[in-house]
Amino acid sequence: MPELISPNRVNELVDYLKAGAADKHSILPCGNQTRLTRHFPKATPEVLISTAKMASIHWIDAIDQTCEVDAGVSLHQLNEALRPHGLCLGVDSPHSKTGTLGGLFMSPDLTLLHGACGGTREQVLGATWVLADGTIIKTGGRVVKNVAGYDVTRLFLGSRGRLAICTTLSLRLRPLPRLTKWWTTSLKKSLAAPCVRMAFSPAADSRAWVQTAGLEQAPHSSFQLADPQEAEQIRLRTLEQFAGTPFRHAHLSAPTEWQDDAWELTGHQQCLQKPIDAEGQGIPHRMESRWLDELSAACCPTGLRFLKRPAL
Amino acid sequence: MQTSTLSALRAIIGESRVLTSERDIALFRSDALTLFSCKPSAVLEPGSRKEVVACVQVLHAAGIPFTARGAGTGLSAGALVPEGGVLISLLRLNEILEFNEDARFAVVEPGVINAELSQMLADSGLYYAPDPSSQLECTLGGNLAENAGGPHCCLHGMTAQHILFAEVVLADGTVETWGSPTAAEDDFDLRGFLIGSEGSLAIALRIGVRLTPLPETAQTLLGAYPTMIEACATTADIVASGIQPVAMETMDQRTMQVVENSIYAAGLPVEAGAVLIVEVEGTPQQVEQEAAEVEAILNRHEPLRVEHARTVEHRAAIWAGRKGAGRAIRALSPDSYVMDGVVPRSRLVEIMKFVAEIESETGLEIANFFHAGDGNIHPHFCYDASDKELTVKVERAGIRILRKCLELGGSLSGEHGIGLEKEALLHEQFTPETLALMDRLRRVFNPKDLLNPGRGLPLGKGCAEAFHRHGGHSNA
Repeated sequence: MPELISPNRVNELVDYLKAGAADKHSILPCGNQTRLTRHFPKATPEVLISTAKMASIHWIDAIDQTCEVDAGVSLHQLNEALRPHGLCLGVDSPHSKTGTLGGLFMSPDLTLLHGACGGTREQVLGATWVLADGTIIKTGGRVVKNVAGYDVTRLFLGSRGRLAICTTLSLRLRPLPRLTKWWTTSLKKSLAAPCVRMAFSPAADSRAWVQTAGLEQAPHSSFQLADPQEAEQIRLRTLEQFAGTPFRHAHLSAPTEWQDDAWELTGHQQCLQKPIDAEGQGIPHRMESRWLDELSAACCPTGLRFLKRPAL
Repeated sequence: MQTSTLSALRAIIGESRVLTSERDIALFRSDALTLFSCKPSAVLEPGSRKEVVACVQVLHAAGIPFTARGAGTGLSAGALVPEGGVLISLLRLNEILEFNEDARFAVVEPGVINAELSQMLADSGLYYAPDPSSQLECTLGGNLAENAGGPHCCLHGMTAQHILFAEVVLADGTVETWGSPTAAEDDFDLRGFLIGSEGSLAIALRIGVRLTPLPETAQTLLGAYPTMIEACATTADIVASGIQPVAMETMDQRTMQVVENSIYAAGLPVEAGAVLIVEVEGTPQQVEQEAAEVEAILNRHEPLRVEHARTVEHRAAIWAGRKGAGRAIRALSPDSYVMDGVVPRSRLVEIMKFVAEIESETGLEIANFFHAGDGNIHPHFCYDASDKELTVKVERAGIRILRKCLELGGSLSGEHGIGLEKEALLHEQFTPETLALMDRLRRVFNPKDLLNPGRGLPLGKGCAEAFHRHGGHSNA
């Protein structure tokens, strides 16, 4: 079992790395370890550095709809803090209570809010990172639109901790939907229109579940309203089903008018049926990209790096 | 450039496609930011992806710096090469290669014009959402390089959210594909790193763009206010209300007057100090409801009047006016400088008060029309570059506004990029460690710095001299 190190503050983490820890050990950065086996099933790190104990919400700008948080904050914790402001993070995850936001963004799950808010990582405006040699890096910013400098945020988020440890995140927030309803309909007839802010259809089932959230409800007579308890079960089941799945966009066509045959589910849902198994089958091949090794070397000119012996 | 290199290039793309004469090259000295110019030693006009790759290989072998260029509508002097360098114009690579209606993406060459893609797809009910004001001329390759924005990015997001993958040629002539049609988020995201890298990591040869269903219906509201300050305060209120407009733009009186006196006249309320344009889209019921709520907020800030544009024609006129504003204003003076900065939307009022202060302090005329919903300001200076003193004054005023943006927690650029324009200011936004890292990461892909040398990052000392600024140096 690898040794677990959970610094309480960024300074502790920096000191540990500046002392040359990455030279001595093969280190894998992580959040609360909820999805480690999924993302690095064959990795054999000697040390896990967890950012779970760094879990403060630094500020929330309710007018700008942005916030800055430590990477160890959980989605649930953030959403609870945002609720009084009428805001939420535009991401959903089966690990909202157990996982950290750092982990969520580094190894994103399907987000049921994709149709309304965009992909998981599109919510990240900027971040603070610590490189393997202890250097602190700040990428992006706190504004919703920003093209200054290279988009290192995206590059690092996609590296699953192999290039840098994420310590703080600047995030874009969304207004809480005023009304949320779950509907069931037959799969054929599903789903999605501009007012359907959440929509998903687990491919294995003959039914589709549609959540509408926004200012109004979906005006479709063939939908059946699901009771709140069933709706919550549906939501959890949907999220869990896709937690182990390399998610691709499911494109949902918007009907031009509300007629049964105007509904269709198109796109890449076939990709959703390929979960990653214990051997790591199904992990996108680019995680083994030669660029990852070269970029890893470029991050620390001294040659220090995380996960010295990556066995993906 | 050595004649052997020139002959090799001519052999690849043909004699007439290697431009070297003074007259042919004159057009390529600047992009749409004329503060900077530099004459390339040659301009190449390859006609196929294969030709681009072959040219890149020749230039790489000869150690000649090169930069890809689309329509030259960039506003940060991003597509220029230092003296001795070569520009590769990608305008002839303008084919739409694939249209996948089911999976909602298209594969295009980099020279395809932004608006033409949407026009081509009109019958399918899909379109390409990002809409920079130059969309009638700018290319998707250039949009990718700069991570272009536009009014409707307020809801739909920037170019980066609409590009699924790109086949690229690296500085050494290697061809790779980054990203995929399924845009897997759990992949290592080289695609994301490429977009907005200002042409300094690779040149896109084929681009997979996400297509968006056309909205069922939309409505545009205009709120006319005594001053820009009320328009900005209203913007912050609409953002905070939880309604998510698809676009939220503002224009000041000076801009409206220019637009109304041009071919872009749209019936804007020229008697007002500023107008706020808010667009909502969705199902008819949703649009009615949201428009009513927007109207209530517009009315709360004591507008001179509020107007609804419900018809397609009226909306189209308003957007033609908004997007034509830049062109109309540029026609007024020999030179113009539209700068680009961002602040948190909660600080819009502060930054616009500061812009007004700069205006009264310097006596410069500043026109303001910008993406209020994103906190993305575009003060627009009209001047005459032959007046050196005036030019320096303009540059200094621009820098003061950008510094104020940073002070308020913002950014040096929301959509125009850094280019040559802002390289000297980047160290005020990022730490030396972060800039050094960016430089090392760039060198992974562009080790000899031949591809768009130094762009997107501060140039090495002395390199800035390689480009000509009309008004001399401004970092005072």
